[in-house]
Amino acid sequence: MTLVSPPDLSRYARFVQRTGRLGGRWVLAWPAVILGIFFVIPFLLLLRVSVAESGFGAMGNGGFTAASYLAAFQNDVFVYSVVFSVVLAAVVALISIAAGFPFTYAITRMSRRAQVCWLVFVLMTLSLSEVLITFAWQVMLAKRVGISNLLVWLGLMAEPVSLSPNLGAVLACLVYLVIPFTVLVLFPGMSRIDPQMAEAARTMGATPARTFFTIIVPIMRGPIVTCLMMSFIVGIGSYVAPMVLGRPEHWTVAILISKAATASNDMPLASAMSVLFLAVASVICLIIYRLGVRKV
Amino acid sequence: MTKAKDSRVGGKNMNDVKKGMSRRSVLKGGAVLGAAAAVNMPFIRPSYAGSSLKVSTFGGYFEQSFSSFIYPAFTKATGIAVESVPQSESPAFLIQLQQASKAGAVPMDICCMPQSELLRGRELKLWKTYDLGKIPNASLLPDRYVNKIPSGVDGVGAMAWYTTFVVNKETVKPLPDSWKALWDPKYKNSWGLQSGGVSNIIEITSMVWFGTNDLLNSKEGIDKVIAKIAELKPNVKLWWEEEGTMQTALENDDVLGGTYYNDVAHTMAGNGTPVVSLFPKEGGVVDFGSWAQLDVSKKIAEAQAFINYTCTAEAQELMARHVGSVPLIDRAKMNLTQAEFDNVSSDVPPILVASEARLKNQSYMDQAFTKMLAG
Repeated sequence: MTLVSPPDLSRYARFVQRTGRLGGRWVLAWPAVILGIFFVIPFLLLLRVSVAESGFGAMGNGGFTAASYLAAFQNDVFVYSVVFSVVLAAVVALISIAAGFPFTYAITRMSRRAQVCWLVFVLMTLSLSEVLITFAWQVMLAKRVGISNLLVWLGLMAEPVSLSPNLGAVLACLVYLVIPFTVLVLFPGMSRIDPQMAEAARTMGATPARTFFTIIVPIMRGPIVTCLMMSFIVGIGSYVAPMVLGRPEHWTVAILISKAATASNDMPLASAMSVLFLAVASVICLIIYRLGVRKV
Repeated sequence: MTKAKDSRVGGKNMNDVKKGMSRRSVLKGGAVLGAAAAVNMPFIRPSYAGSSLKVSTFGGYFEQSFSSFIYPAFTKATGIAVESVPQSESPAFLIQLQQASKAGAVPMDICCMPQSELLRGRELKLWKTYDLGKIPNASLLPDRYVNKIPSGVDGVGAMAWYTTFVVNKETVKPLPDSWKALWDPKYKNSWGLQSGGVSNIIEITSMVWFGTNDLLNSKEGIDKVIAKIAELKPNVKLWWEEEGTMQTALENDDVLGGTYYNDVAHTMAGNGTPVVSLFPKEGGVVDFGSWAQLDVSKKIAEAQAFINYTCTAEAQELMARHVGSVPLIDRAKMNLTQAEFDNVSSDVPPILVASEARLKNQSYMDQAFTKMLAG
């Protein structure tokens, strides 16, 4: 449990109290500086390039124009891709939570030793690169060596088939990438749920399923929303999986942005697409967040 | 993205890495050889002997082969040590060069640029011009490999590579002899073609169905070609972006074949994958890279010596054997065996990359291609 329990903040809190308001501000200055350097400044540069005139080079041709934004809006492929990316990320988030939630619940009911083993296993999959995982899926779904051969061997299929590229392959790979995050976000909260609550429900006659949906799920509302948001963000920025395992109609915005930036060398258009997409993603995350804090 | 040689995971690379020397040992060897050459020829020693040159080629297999086989031979011949620098194939590479040149940094003296990138770099004023008088061997190259501009020459051909019709010989029978087989309705959902506006399928379609690449100079012409490519959609299973994706698909029978690199296909065949690289009667697509010297580089004499060396028959033979590149000079001037020649090239006249049209219309080609695929 020590693996994932939140850090002990009481000493930090005492330090802040002792150093008073001024000291507290200084402590907060550090993250602010880091945020400024690594997020705000690059974002301002992105904004700047997005309003530059189209042209080859890091800054386009300089100048100020909204032409790139207009071009992005008028580009059907881009608009379609925004919608597709959002839907894809939402589906990935929902599947991941549907699979990850009961899985995490099952882990918390295990012995301490088994819990550690499972958590180490889940953490290990996070250490693999996204590219490696995607290519592994490509091989796993392939005709010559893929899982369809296993099904043939088991007598469930007549002959091996190729299972990618298609939408199912993209979804499978993305869910695989997102599930470790789901487990790690849900585990701390879920492991603190008092088992007596479920027992009480059971003694009062609730079925296991009813206990799960009326006791466990409502308690976990906060982590579930955090989890959905995180899965959504990982899914919406996916790049390698749709490119390798998908067909062109499954290309996400990230792929279009990289195409505009590298193949067409149109940095202003790529930046404008990034800014627009960031706006869409932010609005959606804000909605998910509001859903999370609203009291029932 | 067009020639992501660094993504190759073929056994040839692995073997060559194992067999080949490390960069450091090459450098060391180069320095020793350089010193030896300087000692041996005290009176006729050229002014550059014992100096060095930073040369970049596409990172991965290419760079390893160059630093294992080509640079040591050059150092032996001239006494100039070469520091090998891996070069990104991303078009963003030019932007990095632009930034470096603004900052006065010299990441490398000479780099190997595909034709379309050479032209883009020219627009950004990144290149120095060469004095051809000091590079006599450049006359061995056909004219199209020497980039003449009013102020001189800013690119001299380095090496070429073919995109061919690569198919699985066990499942595709009889073997097609024309690119038109890509459009044959009997091959539904079968091929893997390179995707995007950078794909050579544009040149192939234009030459095979319209007999010319001139169409690509106008947007109307590009629309016609793209419409013809759209007819391929039912037959294409995989629109590949990274060549590693196509390699995996070929190795696992996920596609029957498609457009792919001749040199990688030979490596794969050598490793037991049942693929064969075909030169259709209309020709394979040949693209080539040129040696371009950065404007900020100060190593004029060394660069001249390097380029003069790579234009020799000896160097071109070495490249054909060890890098797997297509020789740029006339076959009659070289001592390649028929097998060595067939491994990298073909006597069928090639389809050329429409570099000028691409420079002018690349952005439009890319948009039209993406629209066609997603539409």
